[in-house]
Amino acid sequence: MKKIVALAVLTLRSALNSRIVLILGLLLTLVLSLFPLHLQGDGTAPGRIRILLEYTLGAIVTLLSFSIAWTACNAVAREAADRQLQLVLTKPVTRLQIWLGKWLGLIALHSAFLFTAGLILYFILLGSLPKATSPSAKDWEWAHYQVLNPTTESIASALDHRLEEARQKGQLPSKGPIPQRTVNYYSLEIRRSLATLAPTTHFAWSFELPPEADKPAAPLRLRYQFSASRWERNPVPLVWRFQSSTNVPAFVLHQTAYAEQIWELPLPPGLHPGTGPLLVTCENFATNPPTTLIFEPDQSIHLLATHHDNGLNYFRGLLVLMARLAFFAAVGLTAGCLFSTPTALFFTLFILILLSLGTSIREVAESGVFTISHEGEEIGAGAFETPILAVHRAANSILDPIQSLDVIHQLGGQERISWADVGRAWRLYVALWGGIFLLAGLAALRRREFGKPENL
Amino acid sequence: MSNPEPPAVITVDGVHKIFRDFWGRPKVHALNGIHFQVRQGRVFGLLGPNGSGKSTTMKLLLGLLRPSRGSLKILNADPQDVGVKSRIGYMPEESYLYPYLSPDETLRLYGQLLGLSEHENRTRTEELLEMIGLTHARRRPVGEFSKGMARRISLAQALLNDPELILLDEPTAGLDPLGCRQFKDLILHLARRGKTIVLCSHLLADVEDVCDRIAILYNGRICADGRMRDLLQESRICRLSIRQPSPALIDELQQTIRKTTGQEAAIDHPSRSLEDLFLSAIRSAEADQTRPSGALPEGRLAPFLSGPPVSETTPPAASPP
Repeated sequence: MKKIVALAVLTLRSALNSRIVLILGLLLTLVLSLFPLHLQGDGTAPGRIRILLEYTLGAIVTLLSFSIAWTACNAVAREAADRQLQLVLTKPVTRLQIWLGKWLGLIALHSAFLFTAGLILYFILLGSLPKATSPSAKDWEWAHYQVLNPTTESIASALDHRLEEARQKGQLPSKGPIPQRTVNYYSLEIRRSLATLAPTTHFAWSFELPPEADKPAAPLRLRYQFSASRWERNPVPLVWRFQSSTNVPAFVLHQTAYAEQIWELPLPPGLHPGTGPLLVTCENFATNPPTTLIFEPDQSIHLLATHHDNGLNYFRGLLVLMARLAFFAAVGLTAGCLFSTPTALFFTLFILILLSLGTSIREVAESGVFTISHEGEEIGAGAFETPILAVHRAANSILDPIQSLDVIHQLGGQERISWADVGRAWRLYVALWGGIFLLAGLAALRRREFGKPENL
Repeated sequence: MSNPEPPAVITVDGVHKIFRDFWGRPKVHALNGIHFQVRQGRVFGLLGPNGSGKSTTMKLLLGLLRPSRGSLKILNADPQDVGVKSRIGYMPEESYLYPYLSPDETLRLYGQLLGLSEHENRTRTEELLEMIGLTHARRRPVGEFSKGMARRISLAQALLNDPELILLDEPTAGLDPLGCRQFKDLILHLARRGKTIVLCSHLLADVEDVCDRIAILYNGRICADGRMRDLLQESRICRLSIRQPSPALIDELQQTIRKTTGQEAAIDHPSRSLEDLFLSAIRSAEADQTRPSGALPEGRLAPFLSGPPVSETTPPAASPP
């Protein structure tokens, strides 16, 4: 451990002596002093929180990602070129100790930058939130929310029935496997039809609540959005019922709401006794004119559990970002073990860009659609695109778990980041992908001959 | 009964080293099946012109390169074995030091990497800084130092762990004459302490002063090796040694030789200098082989620089009054 710490301190010193760290410090100062002045938001606290965190924290993390990638590549590749690593390798130090020492040094330096800049931004945010001017503004107090999704009902039998029906109608080939893209389409269609409310009909969503949700200090909120069958901008009368079990009387809320807008309803505490699901039923009373409502599956309705430990939530967010930086350090170090500085940088930047393209890759991988015609028809992969689609799917299987940890967006949207999220981030970024890059880096370090003449 | 030979600290057996390019094609055959052994307590010199394979041999011994064929053992272990490195000290040809660290920080860093305790590290750092005469500059960054000063720190880091085997690559390069003398005294002192030392150098006088065994490399092959004394001695010429001969006896011998040969004879045991041995070894190796991969042993002057020797075209310079 002493040797790892010695190498970590050496890496830290080396980075501090390079100009990139000086430039990084200057750029972070610029971001922290200019962004909060220019990004005002929509005048509300949530708007201010979203714009300040998404842009400023996003810029800080982007700068740190480039900086850690650069310094990590140099930490091995440059030292190998300058022959300093040769002398280190003549001492009783294992390749693992060298890799870990450098990695820890890089993480320590960039975490110091991240947490310092993050703390400054937090205080800027605290000092610049608009003051509540009316009792209703209390609804916008600075809190963060744990997003709870409804339980997904099994639609297996309905799906089988629908697919069989499509085969009989000749909409699908009578034999042979059905492409996953088509199955996904029919699944969505069924789930959409289930949550489509004709006038005077209702639909119920079931929520499994964690034990800490719906406490007096942290009441629930309902967030929902729907589409309507009519384009007229008339409000739609709705009745919401919240019932935890048959023994407890339901809490009923009447509301008129416009379509295509996000609505939030504060709920009284104590709706849920702590066990069993909470049923949320929506009844459509839009009879004049008769309007059908569509609740998009997975996106249209959530329960929000309110929490007020904002500082801790923000800290957890920074821990997730730290794991992300640790992953970039692992990529850069391994690239430095494999290649010379420019090639290593090129490789690391490619990984950074690939991660930023994750959403497009996911869309193509999941839909199997490369092209949409002028008529809106989705054109699947042809003979040429099939291998490209396979590459997209392989890339997506790697990127998807990483992409789902969009912590800056979560912090901006005042979403709760749990310790489980932090654990997941560290498991994914550090233990899994960091571990894979560590193994690759060690293999490269063992294979590489550091005493080779320069001109070879 | 003769003393038993000390154990071998280094065994190099039929080692080849081929450097390959990015595509794995052989580019340079740096070593061509070299064999040698270095026993404990010896000072072993590796000599050879540029590109002969000295540094490659050194780096193979340090585990910084892997042999393409053959085997190496140092201190009865594979050079790649991390454990054995705590018993080795290495002073590289160039001072591969971190320019932003001071001598004090440099030595402490390597002490930590060698696994020395905090107390041991501090004490040895103090003593070594004293020895190399850099106590006054201990806080200055190494990057600001002259080559000679940097070489001294490089030497100090090689000795931090009091190693059993010390590998020195061009150790006196960049040192002033006094530093060279001190350095050679240090090597002899360490050898007397039973340390095994391998050094490679172009400075033949330095090698002659300290080495008891040498190997001369040329084009990746050993073209001469053995004990320094044996190699330098002209074995075909016999030298008569008489302890404290009287002038009368010397006269008598001179007269006898003059009578029989008609010449004034010097009664002596001649010995070749190391330079003679080195150059003859290189010339014979050059005659046996085709083009070497490294630099030519005799520099050929470029045609545009060629001209008759100064003595043939100009009169000898006048003596100063």
